[in-house]
Amino acid sequence: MLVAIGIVVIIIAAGAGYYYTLQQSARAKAAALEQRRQKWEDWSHTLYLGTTEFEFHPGGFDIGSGTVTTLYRHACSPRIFWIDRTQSGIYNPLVGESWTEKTDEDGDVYIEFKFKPGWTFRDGTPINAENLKWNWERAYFDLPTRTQNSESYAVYAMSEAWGETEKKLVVEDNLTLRMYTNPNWPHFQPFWKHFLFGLDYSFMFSKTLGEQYGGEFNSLDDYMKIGKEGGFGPFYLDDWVPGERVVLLADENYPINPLGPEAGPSKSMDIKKIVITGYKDTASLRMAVQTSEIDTTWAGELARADIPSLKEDSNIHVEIIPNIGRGVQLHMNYGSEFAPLNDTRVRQAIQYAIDPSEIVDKLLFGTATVSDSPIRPFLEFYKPVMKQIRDLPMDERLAKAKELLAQAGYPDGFTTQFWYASGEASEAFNRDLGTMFQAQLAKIGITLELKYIERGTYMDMFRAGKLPMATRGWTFDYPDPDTEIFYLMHSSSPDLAKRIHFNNSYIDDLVVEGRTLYGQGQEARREEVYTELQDFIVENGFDVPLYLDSYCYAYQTYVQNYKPWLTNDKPNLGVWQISKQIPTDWETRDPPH
Amino acid sequence: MKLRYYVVVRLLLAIPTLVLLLTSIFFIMHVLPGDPVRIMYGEKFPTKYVEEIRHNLGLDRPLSIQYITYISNLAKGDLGISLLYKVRVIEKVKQVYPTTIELAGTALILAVLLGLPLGIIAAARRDGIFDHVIRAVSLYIYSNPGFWVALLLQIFFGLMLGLLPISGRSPPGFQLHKITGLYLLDSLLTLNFKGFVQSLKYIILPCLTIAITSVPFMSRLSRAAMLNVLGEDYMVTAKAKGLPGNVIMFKHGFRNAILPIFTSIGFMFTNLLGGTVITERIFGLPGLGNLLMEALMGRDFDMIQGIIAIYAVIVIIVNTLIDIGYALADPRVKY
Repeated sequence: MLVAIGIVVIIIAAGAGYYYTLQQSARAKAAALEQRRQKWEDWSHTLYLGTTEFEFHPGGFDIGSGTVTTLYRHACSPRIFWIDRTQSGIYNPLVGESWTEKTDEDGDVYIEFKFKPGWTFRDGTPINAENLKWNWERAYFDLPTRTQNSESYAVYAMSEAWGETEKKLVVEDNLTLRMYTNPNWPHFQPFWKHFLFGLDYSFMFSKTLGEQYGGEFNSLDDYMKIGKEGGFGPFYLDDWVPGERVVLLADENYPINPLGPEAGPSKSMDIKKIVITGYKDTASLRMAVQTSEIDTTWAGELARADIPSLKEDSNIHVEIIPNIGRGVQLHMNYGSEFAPLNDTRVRQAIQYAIDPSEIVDKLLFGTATVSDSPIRPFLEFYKPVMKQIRDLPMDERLAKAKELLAQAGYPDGFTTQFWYASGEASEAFNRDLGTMFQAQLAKIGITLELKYIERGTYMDMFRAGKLPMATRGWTFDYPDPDTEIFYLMHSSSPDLAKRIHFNNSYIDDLVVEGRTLYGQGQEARREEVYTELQDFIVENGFDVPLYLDSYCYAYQTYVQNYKPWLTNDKPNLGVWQISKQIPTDWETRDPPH
Repeated sequence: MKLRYYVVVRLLLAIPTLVLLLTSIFFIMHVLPGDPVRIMYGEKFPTKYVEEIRHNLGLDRPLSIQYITYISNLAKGDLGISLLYKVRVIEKVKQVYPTTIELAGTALILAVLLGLPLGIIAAARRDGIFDHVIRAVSLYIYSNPGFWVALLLQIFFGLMLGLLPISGRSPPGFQLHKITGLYLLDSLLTLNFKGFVQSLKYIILPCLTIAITSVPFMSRLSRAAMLNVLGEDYMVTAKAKGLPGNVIMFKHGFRNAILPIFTSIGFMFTNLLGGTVITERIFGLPGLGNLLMEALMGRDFDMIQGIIAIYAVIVIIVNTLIDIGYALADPRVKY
């Protein structure tokens, strides 16, 4: 009997033990599953972005033009206004309320900026006229102590605004700032927009923190402090690993929502964290998106040769945005003191022989658009002057090119050089481009030697006109033909004219006329001016517009509503609209991060 | 001469070497074409502003004046200010040097741990199958360029197997209390095992890239050193005395062969420090090599000179340490 009782007790105890173990195991499993669910949840609220342009120096007004900087500037720093590029660059207020050109009692011209009341930086410092004055003065007067690239244009534009007049910023009241300008300058409205565009690029932060930490040469800790507390935007700096990664976190108290007031404050945003990782080359960037290490690549950084195979990857979307103004337009230019390139007929022959459509098809895999004028098609007075050449059958073009060479005294062609810069991401592409030029010009007897040198020396040689043939990229600054023509053709343009040794006083006068007639109600005359200037490109042959580059980017299929640039077109709208879908098999694996 | 005097003399002699090196770098960099301001500010920036900035940075002063300023600042321990990054050179170097040290250090350890035994075994079994296989495989691996190995590792372990990250030094959200800046060491010191595993995963591929191409060198070197020693009379004597094979090999053979290997390890480390550039670039590691490349491309004079000065100091220190180690390892060595 006792034995039986003992057996029953043992069975019950074993059963209870087994049940307990099962329960424990089920609890452990549930806990592990919950932990995994939480990991996926966190993952779904984090956007992992990869870029090959990883420049980052917050804390300075003038902080570089890399991807991180762009995101940081727009997502963490107050903008006076935002530019709606979908509507030809219309400026809309953000922390600024208005900006008006006025004249004071002494006849001096100034722009009056009014700011919205009640907004503060994250550290509580008010965003007001005094603060903005401090930031702008810092921008202008500290120019030599800062880095780099595009931010410089804000300062450059600011400097142009002042011209020879006194560089004066006057705080009229708490929310009103007067910026005195060169009286002759604001009449050229596109350039004025350029200046505003420059300000849109500018990075501003709390004066209180800036004075406390913003010494001439900040430490990483200073930068972190300013990035965490000194800005005003939907995000703030959470972590910065120099040269490797920047993490931005959502500021849930940020009051502005680009979706409109009905969408609620920024806490309605799905993305709570943005992790931006730097990659040194396009091959690594491609692998990062293929391994889900990142959710998306920044626009315009994928190697074109990777596009066809990435398109075949069912986990990845590849988008190609045609050039609508932002991107580079590539030109072929000459150092025209090199005989026989200084002969108009020779340059014209090259215009006939170079076939940009082959470049677009074979090197860019159809991701660019052949350009038929230096003025982009969406700008006023665009005339596709190169079409008269490029619409001809290739045989006829080559025959015409040979005829022009024969007239110039080179019936059997000649030997010249095409130069490009080495040691940079575009080196391989430029080499391929040179090879294609080589093949195309060989058809008319021109032997093209490919030469390359590291970028610093290359730029010096280019500027000094020491390169017989080289390409030149040009980006859009403001929505007027002047943005292209002035820099391409006017002898005073910053160095460009000197590079190609193009100097013609008649053309200079036309360029200036085109600029000064802006807004004067003489559109017909302006059209004549810009038509003549574009025609001159074919007459003189000093430039070969090649193609308008597009932007390509790739992102995972689980990312919804992704748009490139995230923050630009409407302030941070891109970030608001994105969401990430947790995969259906989430229970079986951990997220990539 | 006592060892400590020797070390002091060595360090004192290093000063003119360093000055000569930095002087030549200074003049080479300044006479090369390529304007740092132009490179910094881009093509559209107007010349008048470029000139103003050049003036403010002192780049328009005579080269001799710039040189005197540079050397006098250097004497005060001031390596200057980076034109590109707008921070003190030393600050920037402090940020990135642990990456390079960690990479070169782990690769060296791996190379020694693998290469040394392979070389010793190959020497012990001279002209045997093992020896031939090791030599053939070493030659094969040695013939592969580092960047090629890096890409293969990235594609295989990162892209195809998805086992290891292809880029960077740590994952997002990586938490580590930094002591030395060397992630592996710091995570161990702070008992952060999760951090250790995470940083280990990130360093495996770059470390393997360097180690794989260094192992053959180490194995061939140690094989040759051992073979030299194995032919010595005292080895024959040891054998004649009937000592066990491992005692002969390690107590009598290896201890005597270690000296040239020890010297080479030192040189290898300094070579690795300078040779991590490509690996750093491919794996996106923010190290000294990457920084130097960017400084060179941007004509960031002070940064270039600063990094080279630091490299030179490291080489001098490592060489001195080798000499000290030499004396400690071999009682016959006197200074």
